[in-house]
Amino acid sequence: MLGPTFSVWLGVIGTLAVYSFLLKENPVWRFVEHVYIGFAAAHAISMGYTNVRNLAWTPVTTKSAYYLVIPCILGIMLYARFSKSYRWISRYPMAFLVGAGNGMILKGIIQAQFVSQVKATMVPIAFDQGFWVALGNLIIVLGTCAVLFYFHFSSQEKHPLEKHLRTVGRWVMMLAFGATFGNAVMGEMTLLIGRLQFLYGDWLKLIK
Amino acid sequence: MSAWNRMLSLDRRIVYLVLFVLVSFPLLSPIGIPLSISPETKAVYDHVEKLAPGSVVVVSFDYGPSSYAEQHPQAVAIVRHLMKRPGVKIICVAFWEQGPILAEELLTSIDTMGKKYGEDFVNLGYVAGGETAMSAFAGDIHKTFPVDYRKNPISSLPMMKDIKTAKDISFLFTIAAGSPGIPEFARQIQGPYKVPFAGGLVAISVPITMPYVQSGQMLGLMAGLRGAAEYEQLLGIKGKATLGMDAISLSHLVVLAFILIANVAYFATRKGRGK
Repeated sequence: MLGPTFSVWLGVIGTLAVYSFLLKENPVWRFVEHVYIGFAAAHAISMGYTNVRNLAWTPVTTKSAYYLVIPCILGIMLYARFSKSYRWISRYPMAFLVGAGNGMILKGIIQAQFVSQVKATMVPIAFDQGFWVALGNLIIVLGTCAVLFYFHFSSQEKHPLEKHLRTVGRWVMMLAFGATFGNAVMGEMTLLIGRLQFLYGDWLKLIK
Repeated sequence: MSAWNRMLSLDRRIVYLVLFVLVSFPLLSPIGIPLSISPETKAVYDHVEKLAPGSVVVVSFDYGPSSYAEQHPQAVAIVRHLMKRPGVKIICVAFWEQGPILAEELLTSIDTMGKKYGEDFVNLGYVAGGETAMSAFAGDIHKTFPVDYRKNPISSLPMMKDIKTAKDISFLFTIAAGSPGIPEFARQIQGPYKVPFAGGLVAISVPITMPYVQSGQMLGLMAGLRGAAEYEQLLGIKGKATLGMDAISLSHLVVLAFILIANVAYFATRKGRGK
């Protein structure tokens, strides 16, 4: 029986093989990369199979929900894209998927990603609620307007105010990109820390 | 070659080595750098604290092994807190195919504080379709997940008897690494059903997700490993996230130092090149 020690060793070998890429690309790293992709694909197929069984096969065979045969046929039609002669067949389920997907998204997007977001920028710039709150609101309003103006391409910056507003917009975006970069560094470092915690803790038992 | 030129052509493996050593040091010998708690994390904690007995919480595991280090501590922290809350029912779902394994690993490895599978918490597993699946889940949970991850018919689980749609959900928490994630939940569940909503995110997604917090669509969020560490602190536990925070702080200093060195070297050598 393969115990937890075996799985730890498997993890250790995989981790060290992947980190060997930092020195140089090598066959061991490539092998582990392919194994990982293979596992992920196998798992996706297994999950897909479970979904088809639970949501289509079982209801059709035990509850006579024959209408579920229609999406199954549409799903099978998608595979026609692998044949040059019958590729056109896959366009029908694809068209259905795109149409249904867009319809589904449009249903909620106006409220969730337009009205609510616009409302969140309509904030009062009144100093009676505290200096810092008002300053924060002022930055939100000015920043939003400046960035929106940066993407207004139909004027030619004849007035100096337009140029300055665009510059402010660019700076606001730079600050946002800087924050994103800082968070990206934190994310990447976390991956390294996670692996080191595994190596020092689960494997070498150096972390209590 | 001048010292600055040597800096600019520094072998990247030296950078890796410096990072490796400096990140290893606080992991093996923690320093205990103080950590402040952000209002976004505190808001999630406070909301869970206020959940009344009988509340139904959906925890969606929308991440995979690639962000395990960053997001699993978030999942552990929130589920541990929910397990502590008396009478709170927990439904684990996933709209990412690797989510159910991670949910199952968590549910079988933590102290459930007397809560029982099927009566107080369930793992419904994964359903394909992304946003469409979320919409279907919100409209009819039983039809979308006829069988749970442990192959029990959902109708046989006592706690699921009265939980049918998103209207029965008191709080939705997603641990989201990408798409489907926050915008999809906002469009299909939070907006239409007005379900209180929060999430745990990979750090890089935080700046683009903050507008959802500012607009009130999300009541709070956990930002990367730091968010998980903050939550652990609120729970009074020292988990993997807390242990990793010293290393995070030191690694940021290393990156900052290398950025400064590279820029100073660049400007110093540019002057020479201009001549």
